[in-house]
Amino acid sequence: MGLSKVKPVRLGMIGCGAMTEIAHLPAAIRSPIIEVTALVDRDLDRANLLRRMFGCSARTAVRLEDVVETLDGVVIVTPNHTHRMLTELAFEHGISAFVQKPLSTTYADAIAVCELARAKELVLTVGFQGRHFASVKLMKRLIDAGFFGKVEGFHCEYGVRGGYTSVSGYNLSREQAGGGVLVTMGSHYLDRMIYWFGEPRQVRYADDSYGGVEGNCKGQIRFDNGIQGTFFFSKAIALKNKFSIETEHYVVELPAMETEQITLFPRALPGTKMQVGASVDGGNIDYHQVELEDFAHSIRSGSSPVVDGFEGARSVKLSEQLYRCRTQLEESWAWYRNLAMAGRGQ
Amino acid sequence: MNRIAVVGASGFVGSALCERLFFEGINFAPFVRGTGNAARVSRLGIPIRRLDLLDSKAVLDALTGFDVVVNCSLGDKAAVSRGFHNLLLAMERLRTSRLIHLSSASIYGVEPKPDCVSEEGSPDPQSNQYAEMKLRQDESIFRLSQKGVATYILCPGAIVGPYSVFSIGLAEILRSGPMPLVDGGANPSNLVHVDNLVEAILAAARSSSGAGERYFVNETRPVSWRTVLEDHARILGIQLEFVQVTTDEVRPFLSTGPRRAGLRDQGRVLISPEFRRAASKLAPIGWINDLASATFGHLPPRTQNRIRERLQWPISVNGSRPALPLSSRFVTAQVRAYYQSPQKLTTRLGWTPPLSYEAGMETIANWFEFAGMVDSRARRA
Repeated sequence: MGLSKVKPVRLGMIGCGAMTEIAHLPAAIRSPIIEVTALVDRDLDRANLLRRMFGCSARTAVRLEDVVETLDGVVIVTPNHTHRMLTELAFEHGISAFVQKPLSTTYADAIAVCELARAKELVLTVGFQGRHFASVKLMKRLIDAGFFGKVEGFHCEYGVRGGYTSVSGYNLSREQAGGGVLVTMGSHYLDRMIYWFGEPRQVRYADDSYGGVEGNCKGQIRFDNGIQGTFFFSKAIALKNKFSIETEHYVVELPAMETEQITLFPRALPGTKMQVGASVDGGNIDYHQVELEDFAHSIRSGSSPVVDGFEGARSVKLSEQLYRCRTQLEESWAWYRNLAMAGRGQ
Repeated sequence: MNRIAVVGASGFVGSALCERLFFEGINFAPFVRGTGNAARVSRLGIPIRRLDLLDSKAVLDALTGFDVVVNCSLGDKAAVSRGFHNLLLAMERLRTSRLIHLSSASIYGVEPKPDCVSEEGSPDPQSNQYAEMKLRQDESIFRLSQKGVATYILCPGAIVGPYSVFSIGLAEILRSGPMPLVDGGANPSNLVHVDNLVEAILAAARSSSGAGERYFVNETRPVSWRTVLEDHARILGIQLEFVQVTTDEVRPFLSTGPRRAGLRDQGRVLISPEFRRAASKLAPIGWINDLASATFGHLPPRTQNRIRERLQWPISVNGSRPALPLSSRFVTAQVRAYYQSPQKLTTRLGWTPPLSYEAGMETIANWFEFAGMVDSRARRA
């Protein structure tokens, strides 16, 4: 019997902010194997607004405890510092959890919830949408199969000017977000690096924070297998938004939001560009729906989700590693910064 | 210096101002409408306050206790009219001692008259909607100054520097192909570096005189477009190719910026397939569309052609060689023939720009390199 023939998995949205509105809630409603049974937000008006806007019959509440009997799983899309507490609360009631990345603000918190999920035999998955992209999975297969030859290095950059305004404003607070652009945007790409290249060994890192959340950061990572590369993430500059990987046989490019295809520039054929794709019906896939259905499927079948807690925790560990060796990013154009520091005797 | 409120702190100028105030250790508070664009301010570790200018009570509450308000806000139509009104009303009620407002040199029009060389010249926005809005705001501020608030209106031209959309856009157009150069590039560029504009804001905040006036903010000497374009090409490592054009050739494109839609524009929209397809879903409009289409079809071919020519000219065609972007702001801006000297800013407010033109270009070069817009190896070479 296909999954769609059985009773849908009942999910509750915890946090009714901008991401829930634009991504997770519509994806869940669209899915034939998911039923949205609860919308929870500390601002009940906000939860009710989403219920009316999407015309769904979910119950609304300010506390998860008030709707636990309606749920098989929760989708936690709240400020990052609340992830551990809300995940543990869900687990206490025997409810599985999908946590929008990052899993938590510290690696210790991440491991704690992973261990709890294991002990209670509940599903814990992390919302790294990119892990479900056909292009990202294809890249992993091609690297592992040695298709490119030796991987010599990589550069990843992702930057946009501005972005959406979070309803809670959590992204302005280091305590609530766990960091700045490295965590809020960069963790997607750190996760891909770990997925493709393995365990990070040595890191270098610099950002532009002066006590707040960084808007620009640059770094260098060397992995266990010797692969080494650089990254640049920005919330203030529109960057090229792609991975470039230098390999023995090709220069490989993967635009950040390209879900289906990888572009190859063969070294043996200068001036030639090739595109390889993994999916036959690519282009119209809602990957938010894919990741939520992966979660629902894991709840139903007991199988492991694509990104389980321990896998999702790896990028939290890497972010911590990077922040630990943080240096101040050089801003050579900011003459006033140097003058002010000289004036203050620094 | 007294306590400063920066309204519109997440914008380009607002962010640059906040950085400068932060590093100078000056007491200030940044106000933003949304947090999405606040990366340059949120890194400073100071509390950022959300403020919706459309909420008059919130504006009043937010600005209580500040001595100086710097208005760098932009936004949609409601924000720049009703929101701006709320801001002025709050200042009047709170008796805030000083308002520094960012206006624009565009209030003198895309092809200014000779008297625009002085702030005392007559502004003429020449149907440019943005300039009209800025001029209306200026007029409201002059009225506010008569009610006892010390107001300073700063009029920069296009603002360049690190993070500048103008600088980034200029780099992109220079990379895209041959660059039209108007009248040999001899006209003054009237570009101002953001750090010099920030210094002008600080000068207005410090000054004990000169309130109730409008001030140009510009380089201290005219810098020609040719120099600006050649210098940008140099720091980008681009082999620059100019295409010489005249003001007369560019003039038909001068009004392509944001401006009030005229009859011809409305006609263009009405006959566009996109509009007709969408509107035809409404039964009465669909019927009118059918009728208009049938009527047009019965007109003599010569009349049909005249109507089409009147509504659709000029049609730009993308051939194998890209068309010269004469309507680009980087080309139309070259038509401005007059240099708007910041002399008054210097003499009345004691403004001294921290960056010469050359030093400013160096900061842009450094930032281009940081942002990956120029290959650092090529630059060093």
